[in-house]
Amino acid sequence: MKFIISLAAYFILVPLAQNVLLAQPDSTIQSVRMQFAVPDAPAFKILGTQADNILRPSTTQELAVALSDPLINSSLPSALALEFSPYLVIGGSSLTLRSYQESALQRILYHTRLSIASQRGKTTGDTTLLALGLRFTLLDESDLRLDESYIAKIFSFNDSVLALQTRIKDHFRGPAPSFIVKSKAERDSIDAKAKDSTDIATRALDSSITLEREVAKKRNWNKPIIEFGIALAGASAESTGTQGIIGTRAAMWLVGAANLGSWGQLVLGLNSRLRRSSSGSFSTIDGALSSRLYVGENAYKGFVQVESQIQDGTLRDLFQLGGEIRLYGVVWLDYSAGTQKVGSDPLKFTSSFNIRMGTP
Amino acid sequence: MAKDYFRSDDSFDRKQDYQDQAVENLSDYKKEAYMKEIHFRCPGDRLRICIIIGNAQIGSYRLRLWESASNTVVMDEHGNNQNPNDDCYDLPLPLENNNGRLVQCEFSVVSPDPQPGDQYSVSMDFLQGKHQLDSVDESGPMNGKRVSPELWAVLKTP
Repeated sequence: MKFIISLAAYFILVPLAQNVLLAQPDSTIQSVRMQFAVPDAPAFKILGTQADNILRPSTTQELAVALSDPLINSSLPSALALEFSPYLVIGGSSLTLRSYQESALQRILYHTRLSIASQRGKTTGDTTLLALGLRFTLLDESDLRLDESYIAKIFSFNDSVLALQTRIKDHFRGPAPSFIVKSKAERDSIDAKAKDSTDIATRALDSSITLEREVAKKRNWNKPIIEFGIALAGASAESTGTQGIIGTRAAMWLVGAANLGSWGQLVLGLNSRLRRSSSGSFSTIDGALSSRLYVGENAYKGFVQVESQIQDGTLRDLFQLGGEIRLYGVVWLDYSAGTQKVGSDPLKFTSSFNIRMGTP
Repeated sequence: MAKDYFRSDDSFDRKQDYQDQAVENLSDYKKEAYMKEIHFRCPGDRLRICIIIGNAQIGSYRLRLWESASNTVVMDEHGNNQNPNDDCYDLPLPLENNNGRLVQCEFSVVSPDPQPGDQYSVSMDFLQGKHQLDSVDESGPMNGKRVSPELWAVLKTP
């Protein structure tokens, strides 16, 4: 039910938000908003493409298929978008929760994401763009896996879930040696009945797990975080790239957040991009330095934002006041209003309204 | 159709026949890819099973060892991966009695912080002494929910 309401809210509110955004005379607000997050896939970001079909392999087999496809076809596909965690693909199955909690290195590796993107022109000889990106979470004290009291409660609830689950299965199946010699159809039928009963019996416990998660998120919302991303892009006039790839762009993102008591959070973001100029050297530098102060709690918070951005030699300054509200489940709404100054242009008032989906 | 070979009132020889029959039938279920045979040496070192819940997820499990020719539970252990050091279990002696026994491990796995693309992974590692014999595992997407995988194996001497 929650999901349906969230989905309905999303489809009603997103077009509304898009209309508001489209009404903005200048895209500055949208562009500077991005300085507060290291992109999930830096490789896509540096190419400036919106990949419709992003492959996210989670096993070595899926990764092998994703990477071998272009090789089988002897050339890069017209658009490739691949994002994965190398550590999870190789060793995720043996990473226990305790190892994760005890080792900072394991946590960094767990959250490291590698992204690969390519884009090829439609005709032979067109430029092929290729980008590689890495995203690191160097510190994340808001990580729920590190909240010992929350984890202990979830273990306790999950132990109870399992006790109910096994008792119900035993009731429907009878002793295992008798059950496993039944035909597959019989076993599936029995297990389907057991599952339905288990779902009903464990509903309250599942709700308790969700509730505890919400409480833990509320407790940890403003804990310190440091994230870092880097991306490199190159171009080749040869579709296979065999005549060499020339680096054309490089970008880095650094975002840090620190708590201010239990009521606030200060977020600082730094973004820098290098571009190869027409003379062939990496001389064009764009960048942004941003700061945002949040006051409130996870689901409801106001903010003050100050930001300076330089792009194509033009300085842009932004001052904003706004708020973020979680409407329902995964749907977030944020609104901001303020002033911006672009180069020598006169000061302008701006406002922005945005809907986004977050994890529950 | 269930085969009625789990009778406990037979003579030793007949019981041995039924046990062999049970092992043979269980081999058929291996073909359905959910029942793996774990071969161990007899005589040899003691058998041991270690439970691993990967992908940094929270997991609780119930491990049962069933007698091959009856509906008797030989060993019944409960646990979770809050402390993974105690998730290894020695199987009962004498060693030869484990031939044909059925291992069942039921899990409940929940993600502490559900994210798109989350995976779960559970496995039973079988050891004889310090030598790893084999393992049975299952993995898949969490899809933001609690998942309940189940692993099976049958122990067998070559």
